[in-house]
Amino acid sequence: MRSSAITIALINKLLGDAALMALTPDGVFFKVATKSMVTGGNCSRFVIVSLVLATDTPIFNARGFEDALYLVEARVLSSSVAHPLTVAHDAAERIDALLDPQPPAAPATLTIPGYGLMALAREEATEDIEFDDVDESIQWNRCGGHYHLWAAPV
Amino acid sequence: MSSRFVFTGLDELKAQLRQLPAELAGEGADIVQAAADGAFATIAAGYPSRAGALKAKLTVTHTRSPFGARSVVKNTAKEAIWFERGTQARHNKLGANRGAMPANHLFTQTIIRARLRMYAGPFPELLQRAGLTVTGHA
Repeated sequence: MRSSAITIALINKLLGDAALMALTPDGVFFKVATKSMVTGGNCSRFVIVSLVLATDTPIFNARGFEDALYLVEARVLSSSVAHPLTVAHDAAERIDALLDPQPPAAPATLTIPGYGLMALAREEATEDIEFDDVDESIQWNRCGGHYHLWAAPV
Repeated sequence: MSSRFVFTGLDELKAQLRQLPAELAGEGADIVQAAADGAFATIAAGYPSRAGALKAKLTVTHTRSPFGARSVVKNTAKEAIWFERGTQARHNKLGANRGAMPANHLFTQTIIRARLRMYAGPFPELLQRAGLTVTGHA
């Protein structure tokens, strides 16, 4: 059983959405952007998916389901676009529409090899601006949320 | 023919029920406090030694009442949120280029684990010792 399939499915769902990719064209990354400023890349509008905690719940001496909490956050560099905060907000709204659509929309779907999605819901919205300590012109607009996902092995 | 239905021991039962919240609150507060103190110690030990403010501004407080208890683990360091969620900005106050830092969910993970451990063991055991039935707990 490959638990990382859950994270990969989540990332692929976000990557596969044209509307989100128009807002965050640099892509979706696990934990840290691979083409970030530190590596000389020009990654300036992207989504970070970070696993906060994953726990297993046993049922009848087997793994009944897995429970994972993710931080999913759009990050937009202030100099990368005319209205960075708006772009970050729009991206977060799109993430939420994909991962936790509210009624009357149907619940989110996610194709995970080896698993069936039980539920996916936002627990908490997050929103911040990160300032560079030296150069205050470097600001990252960050907007997203903590998403709780339950999946059962099939 | 008349019929009678007699409850015996009702006064005793009422007296016991009145005592129950206070007794449960007392033991429950010990459980909550132990969980919070354990989480505090785990988080403090997990912060990097060079990040003095993260450790210095981590606090745990406990409040008790006859009917409940509350423990709060809090970090008021401004860096705490960035340690938890990661950073993109690249310089620290000394001007050093630190690059992007991946999120380290130490605080959130530890608090959730502490809560899960409370719900899985000590709380159900406490309630069962008091004669209550616990179903469907974590």
